[in-house]
Amino acid sequence: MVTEDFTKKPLPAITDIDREFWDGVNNNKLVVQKCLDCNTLQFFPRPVCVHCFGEKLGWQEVKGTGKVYSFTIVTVPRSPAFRKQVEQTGTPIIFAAIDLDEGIRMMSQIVDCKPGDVQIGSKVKAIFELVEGTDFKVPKFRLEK
Amino acid sequence: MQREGVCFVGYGETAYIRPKGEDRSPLRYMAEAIRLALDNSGLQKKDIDGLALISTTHPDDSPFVAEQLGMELDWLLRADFGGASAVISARRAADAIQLGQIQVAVCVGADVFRPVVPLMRAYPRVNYIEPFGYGGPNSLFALTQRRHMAMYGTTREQLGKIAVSVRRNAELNEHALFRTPMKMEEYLNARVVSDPVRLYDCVMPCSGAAAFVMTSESKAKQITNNPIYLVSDGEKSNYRVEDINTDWTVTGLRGISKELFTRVRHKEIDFVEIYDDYPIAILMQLEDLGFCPKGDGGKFVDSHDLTVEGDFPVNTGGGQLSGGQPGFAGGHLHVVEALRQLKGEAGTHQVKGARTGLVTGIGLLGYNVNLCSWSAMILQGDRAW
Repeated sequence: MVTEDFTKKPLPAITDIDREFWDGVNNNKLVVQKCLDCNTLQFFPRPVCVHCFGEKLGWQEVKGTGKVYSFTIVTVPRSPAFRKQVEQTGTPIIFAAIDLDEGIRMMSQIVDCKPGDVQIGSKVKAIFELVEGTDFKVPKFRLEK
Repeated sequence: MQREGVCFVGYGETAYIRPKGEDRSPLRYMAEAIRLALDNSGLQKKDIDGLALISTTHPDDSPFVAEQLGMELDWLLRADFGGASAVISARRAADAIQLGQIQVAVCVGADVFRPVVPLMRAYPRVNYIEPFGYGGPNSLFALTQRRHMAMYGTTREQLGKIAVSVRRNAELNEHALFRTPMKMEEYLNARVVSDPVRLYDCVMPCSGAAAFVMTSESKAKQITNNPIYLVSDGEKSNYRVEDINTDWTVTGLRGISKELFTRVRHKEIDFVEIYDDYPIAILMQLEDLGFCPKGDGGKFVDSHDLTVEGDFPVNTGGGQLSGGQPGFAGGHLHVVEALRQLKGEAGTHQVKGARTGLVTGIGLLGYNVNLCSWSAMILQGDRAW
């Protein structure tokens, strides 16, 4: 049987490919891959450009602003630690796909609002939040007023 | 592509179950399904020279799996296309049969619902989805479902009609895991899992295996007077993946529907077996297969009776939503049900006049794309039941 850990939130298994992204997040910046051959942005970070197979990939900071492409109110998260959080706080998780203004999509969480406040098309902005029990930050989003 | 000279001659499946205590090894499920498929086709173990398999919960390399099953083979494939593995296995087997590499192929899927070995997980999911508290596939389909509802006005009642109709089909199918009638109110008021996805939108994992046997037309005619022909088939991986903001309400089936329907027209299809991890998945596939315009899936569902007695039977054995999802053997369940219909062996849930059926298989949730693997095929018998 696979054992479940109720204490630890899932953290990324950082590799050489995406270290720059997570270093950026932990310095309160959202940086994404940019192909130096064809100038296209891509997310998530990967070994080559999805458009031209280019291996020369740089990084560009994005504003962190965007709109909600879609969202779901998660009452039964997959991770045991998130499940415990939902049970203890009575507050479900707002998991969302965000279209950033620079034209890339990322999945994340929308925080500091009620589930009923979020709509497709709502404007959001990235924040950088410590994962509880660690000194590691992940990017989440807040509704823009 | 269009096919000539490749047939299906048999199928087999184990019970789909959720054992309380210790479960059997996936290999035992696999062996049982293969044995039943051979019995159904009138062939013997020694006749098999090709094997295509998928079992994520028994992750041995395929030669070791075949060794444990005691199978000498001229052709072996481990399919790794998730729920699309059944249809894609059939395509690969058809290639080998047409080329004359092999005479008889068995395609099998077997899984158990509580993995005994931790599975290796994908990098995009581990690093870019799981840290944000998602609810597994339920949440990813919830994102797509909400988008479809917002763009096209699709309602939960329309999705509920799919769930309730396939449950009706399952009531008549002794192989199905869930056979208790479901009312629309029960669907609509079910516990929220990942809004807008609720309990009866979600497929229930179980243990089980399913297999089918394919061979050349000439060999098929020696062993049966009712060979089931593979008419056309196609697959698409990572549809529009370069488009970094791809529309998640569009499926990869849009890219193959034209070649599927070259020889057979939509109105000739007597029933469909659509890979159904969620009702919204069925609805989007019906649109992209061309049964209705994009976005009109809800209206299409409203205007047809989807039960085995109806004018557009969908998932005639209850599909996975009511039949249970035996891991990645779930795709094989749909192929087996199509063959049961086309051989006239479906008993109480037989579709009247079934001669031509369509099967899809989809799998592997992506990051930039909704799902990575999409596949479909059209099967046809010589006679209508």
